[in-house]
Amino acid sequence: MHMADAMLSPVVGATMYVASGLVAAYSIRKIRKEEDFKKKIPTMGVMGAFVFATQMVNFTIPGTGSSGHLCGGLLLSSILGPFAGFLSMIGVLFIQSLFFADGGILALGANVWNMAFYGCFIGSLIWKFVMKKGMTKGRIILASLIGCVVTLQLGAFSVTLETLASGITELPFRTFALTMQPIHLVIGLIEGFITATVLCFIYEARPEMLWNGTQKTEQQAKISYKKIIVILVCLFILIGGGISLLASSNPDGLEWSIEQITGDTEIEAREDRAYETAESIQSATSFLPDYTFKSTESTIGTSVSGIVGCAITVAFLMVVGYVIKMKRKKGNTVNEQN
Amino acid sequence: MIELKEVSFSYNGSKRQTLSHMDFKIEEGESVGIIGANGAGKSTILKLLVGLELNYQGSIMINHLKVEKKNLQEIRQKIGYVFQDSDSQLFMPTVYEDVAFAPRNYGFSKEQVDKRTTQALKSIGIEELQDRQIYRLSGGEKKLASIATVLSMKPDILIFDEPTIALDPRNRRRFINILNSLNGTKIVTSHDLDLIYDTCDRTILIADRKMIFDGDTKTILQNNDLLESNGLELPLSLQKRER
Amino acid sequence: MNKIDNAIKTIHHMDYQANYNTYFKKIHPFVKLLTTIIYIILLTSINKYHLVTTLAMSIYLILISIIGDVSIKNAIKNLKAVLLLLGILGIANPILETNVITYIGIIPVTIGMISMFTLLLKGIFAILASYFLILTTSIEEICFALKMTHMPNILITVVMLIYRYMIVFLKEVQRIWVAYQMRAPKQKGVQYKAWGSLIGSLMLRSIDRAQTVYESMELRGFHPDTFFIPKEKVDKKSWTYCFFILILLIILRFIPIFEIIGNICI
Repeated sequence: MHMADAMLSPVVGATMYVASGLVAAYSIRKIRKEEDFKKKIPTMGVMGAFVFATQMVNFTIPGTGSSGHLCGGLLLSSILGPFAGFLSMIGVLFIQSLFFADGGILALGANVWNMAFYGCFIGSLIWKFVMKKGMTKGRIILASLIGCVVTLQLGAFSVTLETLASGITELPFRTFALTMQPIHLVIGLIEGFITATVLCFIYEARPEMLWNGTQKTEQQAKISYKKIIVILVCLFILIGGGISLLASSNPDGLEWSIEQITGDTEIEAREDRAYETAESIQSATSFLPDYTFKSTESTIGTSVSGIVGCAITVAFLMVVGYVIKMKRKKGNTVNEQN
Repeated sequence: MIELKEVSFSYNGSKRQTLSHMDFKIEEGESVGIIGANGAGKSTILKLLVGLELNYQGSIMINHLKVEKKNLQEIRQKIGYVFQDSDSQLFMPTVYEDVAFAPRNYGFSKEQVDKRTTQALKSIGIEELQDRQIYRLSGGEKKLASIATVLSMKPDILIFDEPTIALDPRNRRRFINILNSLNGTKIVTSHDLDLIYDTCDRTILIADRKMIFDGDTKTILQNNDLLESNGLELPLSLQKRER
Repeated sequence: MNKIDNAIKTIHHMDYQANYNTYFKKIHPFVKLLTTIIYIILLTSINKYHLVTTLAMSIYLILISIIGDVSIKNAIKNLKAVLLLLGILGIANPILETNVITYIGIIPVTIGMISMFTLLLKGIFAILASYFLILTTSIEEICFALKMTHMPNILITVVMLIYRYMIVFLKEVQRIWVAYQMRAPKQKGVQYKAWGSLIGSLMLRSIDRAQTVYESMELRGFHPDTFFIPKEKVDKKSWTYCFFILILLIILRFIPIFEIIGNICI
């Protein structure tokens, strides 16, 4: 899931840096307001190191020869809460990118977004939602499974989008997404199970350790999730902006490069025409132009992908909206009771 | 000077008392050993002294200051606490950074920090380790480094929690020499009774949450019956060889 | 588990290199970080069909490895996973972009092949660049450099702590794994029945350790805002280095020196 530097163009990389940076700045502000904030910092460091080390443990999956590992984001936020968990994951990803070539310096922003943001924030939203009526072992398993699957799906989808927006592969969106999503569904289920067993153990041994998301931070949390949605929406716009920027710059680059490689203007002219026809169809239909402009079949693929992408985005926002609505409702009933 | 009056304590939410009616006084410059079996409450006393646990009954005075939230910074600056686990004590990347941590936090100037750090390293005899990464140190070196990290605060009172637990005989000997060369009030908890015998003039025995004995080290460490009835044994150096 | 042994070895090796690298130690970490980032940005911004410019960017890496006396051999191990990833992505290009642009002998060369090679090279170069950075700069120095970019104290502190405790935990996991394996031979990984308790108990210990670390910091006057991370000014020598590297990178990136040299030769 770690993206390498070469999978991203600088524009997309920078966009993701801005997005992750904003969330990080917001998380720092949030943490500062917490009562035991001084204590949280060493805990973030030590727990980050713990997650780092345990991600290296192979867990044998019964009935198969393969193995899986822990879902760090969800685990961290189930102990520390989303904000501290997120910052702690940034540290882990930073060190992984430097020492183990997992990811890269340019790709850090994107990796933080794909793994830490979804893992911690969406993960803890799901956690909180499932734990609403109190914590049980069954609910912990449920939350871990749903949390891991959903956050990995979102992450995988973002990887697809970011790679395609960077224009480094000729894979059509549909093929790419159809490969990424099912693979990560399986991985998500496995990681969910592993994470669930660990959290169940903690629940039996020291239940007070687990973050239940409903304590004194109730009032603040309500506001904070609203803000997260705002950030999310801004981000989709930003990413969209980045993509359109790329789309406008790429054709020139392509012509130029073919000329550079071949010196043959005939090929250049042929390419040009092919591109123009493709583009005219594309610009009318597609939300993500740019990544398939070679053959007419993939042009159709693009318009389908545009619809799919749109549907997923809308569905995602609806789910988030629903969760917030439920939260508000709950907040109101609590107020009424008081 | 340390003074405990009628101190009782139980951990958050726990009904069982960890300490009950502790009452003693330690004068400036004394070295005191606190002994007792596992779980007797030795570490808890130390935690109370530095205010890591504040919900106690009775009164604890350090240099005429009561241990409570508003006095904490002043009190902690006077006490050097060496943890049982050196890996928890040493959290900075290199030895120098870790030793300089406390003086920097207490706002000394760059020159002062440097001076105190070098002095602390020198008094332990580990100047050559100063640029070493912590994880490259051996267990003995880690212990010595963690003593240096509190010496740089120039504390009046030094507290050691089970200091010899990870040391080989040679490092243990080195540690004892260092301990005896340091000035100021010293408190050592341990069930290594030979260590207490070699370093402390006075010993407090705790068992079952209460203070059983307070007095001269030699007297108590030779009293086999008292030690055995409280889950301890004579120091090896005082045990008569059978056969 | 080889992964853990390798990780510990890697960290030790890099730390050793970073601390004993004589030439690059004199260059300010901020400058090293800056040049590496600029290199990666320039590299990844190269058009995906521009194989020649990508190749030209290797000159920087070769220079660094020569000046800094760092070997590429160890870096190759780290490359495997990334090459696989990029390979999967890149393999689509020759399949989907079949326009033949030239022939080498009788073998046709398509633009898809070119874009695939460019992608792979970019991947390798980007990793080597960050690998050289960490080989010549210790993590503390990188943290100091980050401090100069006004990165918040909290994040830097967390990075430093993760780095510090990472090895402690890796060794702990290693011990647990050895203890596990001695009683469960012939297993490649941890059996599902032990998943929760094995990691869970380590996790509880980690939480307790976090508590003592916090206490130990607290007793020595810790406050996150005054947490000290030294800042040293960038000296003239480092700026000079920075200047020359930037000029080199700009030449490599924007002037087709390979073509010029090629034309002269032909």
